[in-house]
Amino acid sequence: MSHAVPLESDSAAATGGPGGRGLEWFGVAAILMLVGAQALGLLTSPADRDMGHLQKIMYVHVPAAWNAFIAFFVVAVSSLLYLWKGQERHDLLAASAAEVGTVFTALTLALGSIWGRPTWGVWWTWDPRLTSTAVLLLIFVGYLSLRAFIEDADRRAQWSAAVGLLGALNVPIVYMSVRWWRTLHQIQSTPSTVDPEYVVGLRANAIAVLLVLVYFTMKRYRAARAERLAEQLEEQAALEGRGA
Amino acid sequence: MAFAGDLRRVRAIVWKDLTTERRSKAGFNAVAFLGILILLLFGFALGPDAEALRNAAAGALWLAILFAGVLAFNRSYQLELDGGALEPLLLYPAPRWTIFAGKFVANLLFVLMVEAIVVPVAIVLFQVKAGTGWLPALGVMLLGSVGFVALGTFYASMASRSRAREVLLPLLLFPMLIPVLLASSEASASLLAGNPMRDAGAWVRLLVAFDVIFVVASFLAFDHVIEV
Amino acid sequence: MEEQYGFVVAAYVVMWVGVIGYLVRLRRVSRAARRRLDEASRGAGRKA
Repeated sequence: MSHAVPLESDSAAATGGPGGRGLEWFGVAAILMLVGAQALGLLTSPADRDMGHLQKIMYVHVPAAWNAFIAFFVVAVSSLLYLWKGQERHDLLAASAAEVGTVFTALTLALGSIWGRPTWGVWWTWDPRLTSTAVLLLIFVGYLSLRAFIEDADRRAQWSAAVGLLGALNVPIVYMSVRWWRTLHQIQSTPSTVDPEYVVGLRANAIAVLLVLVYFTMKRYRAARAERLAEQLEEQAALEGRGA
Repeated sequence: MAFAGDLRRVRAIVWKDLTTERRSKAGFNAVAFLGILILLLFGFALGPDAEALRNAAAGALWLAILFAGVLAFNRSYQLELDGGALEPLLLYPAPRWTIFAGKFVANLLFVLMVEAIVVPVAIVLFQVKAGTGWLPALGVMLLGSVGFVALGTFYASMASRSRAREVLLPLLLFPMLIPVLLASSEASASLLAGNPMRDAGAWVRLLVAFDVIFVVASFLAFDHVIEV
Repeated sequence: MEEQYGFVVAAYVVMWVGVIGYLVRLRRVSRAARRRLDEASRGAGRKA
């Protein structure tokens, strides 16, 4: 065969060789860890003096938010790497992280809303972090629809890298502008502003969600890689068909 | 020396785009009319209370500019794509940024001309009392337009060459423009309300930062985007 | 107090619906990708 298939060495991993099995076990471990961390958080935390049992929502809301930001940080860095080096794996990683990040951002907003209703009395408030998280979601929904609308792989990679990078660049500006526009939120929840008795639970949950994020992204990356490989094979088959 | 040549190329593209626009006319008239129409619709939605209208004026004006202006950006590439003229343009032995600069300036002039029609209409319809702050308010309009047009021209270079370009451009562009919308409407509202520079200063700085960051970023990224 | 528990339960349910929902989607996407790759490589093999 005159046309060597690029990426051939990865096809075993893409189709689920021994490497694929390892990732599945990692996924099972991540999910079990999430169950364990949530159980730990729920069982060990006493009712908060201001928020009562609502404090328990923190264990899902705050880790989801942190990890959504980690995902978009990955998108920004891989987009930059793609524009710089032009390697396909950075594009596929950016796309995978963007999809997973969008899921976590949507979860963050839904959970924040559920927390906000009993605490602030409203489902939605035009608070800086809530609003800029929503804008972040919109920016990355735009990113994903751009990818969905373009067939040519080079174009898709090049364009979405630019869009992802500009989107990430805008996040701090959006945050600043909304903060000046209106502010009404408690201080950011980091372990330093949270009562020590909640810290362990929060950290454990953050790590568990991070593992789930890594699993989701790797799994999505692997599927994206297989899709890309199939695309290349189909293209090749079409070219050979025309040549014959 | 080379730079003077680049500037000449930019000027040539600006002139070409504006000439095609001037000869067709239909595009500009339709966009300006759409802007007025949106203002009128806002009036019906918010009015007829004069006070409510006056408070909403800056925001409504900016939304009218965004929704009308977004139509201009795809057009600026569409004429070339239809005529198959974009590829020859890319073949010219000149830096790519000159193409973006030309399109950017042409689109900026287009949007400023639309604003020249829409702003007076907004002042009349929303019964804005233009106080002492009208000159800085025009400066804010210019700053906001620069950011709007830079990103619009950049995203249109992709959206116009994809499927579903009509929906893709606003989907990509509008979330990015939220700082511009907030800063411009807040700054012009506080300037027109007559407490000059009370909080307008911070908004103006934000607009300047936004403009600098995204003009530079879109100039740099355009090289990568137009290549494929 | 009972009302508060409702919100806590709702939050955890939403979290798990999200996680499991995305897991299901991942599974579907992976399977579709694998099938497409198998078909494409079978096609390429036939040609060779």
